[in-house]
Amino acid sequence: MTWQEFIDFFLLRDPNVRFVVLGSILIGASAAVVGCFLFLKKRALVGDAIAHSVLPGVCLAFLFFNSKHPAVLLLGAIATGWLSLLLINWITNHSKIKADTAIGLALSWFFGIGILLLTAIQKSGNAAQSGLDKFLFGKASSLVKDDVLLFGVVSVVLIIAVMILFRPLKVISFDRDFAISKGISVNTYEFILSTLTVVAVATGIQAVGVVLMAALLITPAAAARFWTNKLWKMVLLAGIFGAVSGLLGSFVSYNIPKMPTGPWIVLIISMIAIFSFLFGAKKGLVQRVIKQQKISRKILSENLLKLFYQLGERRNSFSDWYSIDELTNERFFVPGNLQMGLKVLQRKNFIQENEYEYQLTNQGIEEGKRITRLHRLWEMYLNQYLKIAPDHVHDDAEAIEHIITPEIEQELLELMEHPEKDPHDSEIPYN
Amino acid sequence: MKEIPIENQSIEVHDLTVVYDRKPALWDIDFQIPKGKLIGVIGPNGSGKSTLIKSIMGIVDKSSGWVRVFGTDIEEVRHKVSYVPQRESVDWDFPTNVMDVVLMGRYGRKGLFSRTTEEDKRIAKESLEQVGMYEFKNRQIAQLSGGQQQRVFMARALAEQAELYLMDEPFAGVDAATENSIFEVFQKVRDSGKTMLVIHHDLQSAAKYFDWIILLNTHLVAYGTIEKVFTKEHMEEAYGGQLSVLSQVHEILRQKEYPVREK
Repeated sequence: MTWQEFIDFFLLRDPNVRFVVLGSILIGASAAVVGCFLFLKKRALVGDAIAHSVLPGVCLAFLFFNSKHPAVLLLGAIATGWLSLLLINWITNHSKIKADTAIGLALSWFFGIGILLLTAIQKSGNAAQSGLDKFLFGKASSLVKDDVLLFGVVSVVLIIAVMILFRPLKVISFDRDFAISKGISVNTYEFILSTLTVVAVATGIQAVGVVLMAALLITPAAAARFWTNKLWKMVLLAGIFGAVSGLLGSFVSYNIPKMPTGPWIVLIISMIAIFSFLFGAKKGLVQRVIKQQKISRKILSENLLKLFYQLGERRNSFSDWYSIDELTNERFFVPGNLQMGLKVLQRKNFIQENEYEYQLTNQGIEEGKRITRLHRLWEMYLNQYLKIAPDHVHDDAEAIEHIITPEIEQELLELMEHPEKDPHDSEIPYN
Repeated sequence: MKEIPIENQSIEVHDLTVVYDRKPALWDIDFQIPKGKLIGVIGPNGSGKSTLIKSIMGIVDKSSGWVRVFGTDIEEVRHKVSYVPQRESVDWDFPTNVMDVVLMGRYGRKGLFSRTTEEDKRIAKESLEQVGMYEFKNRQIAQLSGGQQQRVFMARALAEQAELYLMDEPFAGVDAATENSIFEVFQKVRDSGKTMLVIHHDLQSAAKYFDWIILLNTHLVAYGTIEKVFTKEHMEEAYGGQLSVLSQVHEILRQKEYPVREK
């Protein structure tokens, strides 16, 4: 495509494009918003089962009414989507079969029947049937004005319904038993949530296809969870992710009409999800790695500072200069770590350098003293209160010294009445 | 046991039997408890303690018998009854914070769709202060320790300003110091005339804290004051595993798929 076509698409110059884009955005957003509560209720697989189960409904509606009008197909889809949901609940309640198996059974039964019907229709020579296969993998560019009017309105209704029912949906998702205990009619709200899910799936299948529709329900919610700890923000974000994948999916579909849209939308939403998984502000992988690195750098530099201080204690002078060799002789450092630690300490103005030799600053002496004090206080505490032998307390104190807050230090001091020496008879340094 | 006059009753359980998967979880339970007491529900694992509370709240279906709360059906008095589920029953990774959870305690009174008012916020704040959790009000609930999660649930219950509190294992995963401070809160609530029914697993502290005990082992072993309930015979009956005939009968019912109650 040319640059001009690209611009034309996103400026929505072509009225057909306008419908396709608007429809896809609304479908994506509404499915994602409804899907958030499936995700939170850990019913994600049910979404997949419903998505596959609407196919026989579409086929039956076509056979019965001999029409491809969106309203007809939508109602057919809703009917069998609901039926599969009832079947799953019935199997779980009335047999020893567990929910996961029931979901698998319903999904394959309904989808199998759907494929059977679809094949029969295609082989029947009925000219009107052409295009029904788009319900398998979706074709956003096939949305026309009538489709978008219907699906758009339904999508908007879905989003408004979630907004109105936000509180009850939140409570029943978080604490079902509590909701029952407060007289909230949990069954009614769960019925409504199921209906919203079925309808969201049914509106989406023309653009996305039954096979991959579940991705649009669940993936935006999973991605949004990595960015926020607030439910309303999560729902909003999921809606935006869904809308973006709808938009980009329709763009691809419009420009490569031979390609089904569903896989493209899945690809786009999955990329958003992977990005969120890696870089998400809450619990994102990179965020956690960075945090771990910060912690190990802090531990390294505090250990180094403690080393400087204890060398000073031994020599009775805190103003001596040390070379790298002298430091490595005293304590093992992973190659490269020592240099990194020295750099950190220099930057914090705890040590100064001269001709590859290093010396504590006044600030560094105080900080080194503090860490040594915490280390020895903790050893003392372990020895006195947990009755751990003096030769077993060191490793514990090595780890704990880095996290003792001033408040806990104060508590330790009061508890042990400012002890003078640690279990190894070293002096505990105060001011 | 002497009948308690209905105006002084908080709960009356009559001939209650509950069956899970053809196995009786509760069997012919009968008791009445007075108002204004701090009552412990004690019994071995699987003795039906949670089931008792859930059937009082109408969360599980009864196979037979009935329950009256404040002399009437639970549906009539839900706003006066607060239920605290087991901590493990919810997903603490849910995207919400401490204040939000406590404010849920206000939904029962005012309905789900009314706005959160300043008064709701004040009550939620006071409830959090009572359990010593106000400084955590903006904390994401996943970041709380087990004991802090219990206290948040407790604060939500207090925010309900109920007359009767039913608590399922509020001390599971709570350290001794926190347990003490929570019991102090319970005693204060009791002293203001409210009734508390608390499932507890530790016999020793149960004797120390509760006014009344309900001792369960699928059937009701004993109930009443500490002195009455904590006898050697009762303890053996509840914990000694001597009721093997009863459990054998239950097992046969289940295996042969006979009904526990003829209807």
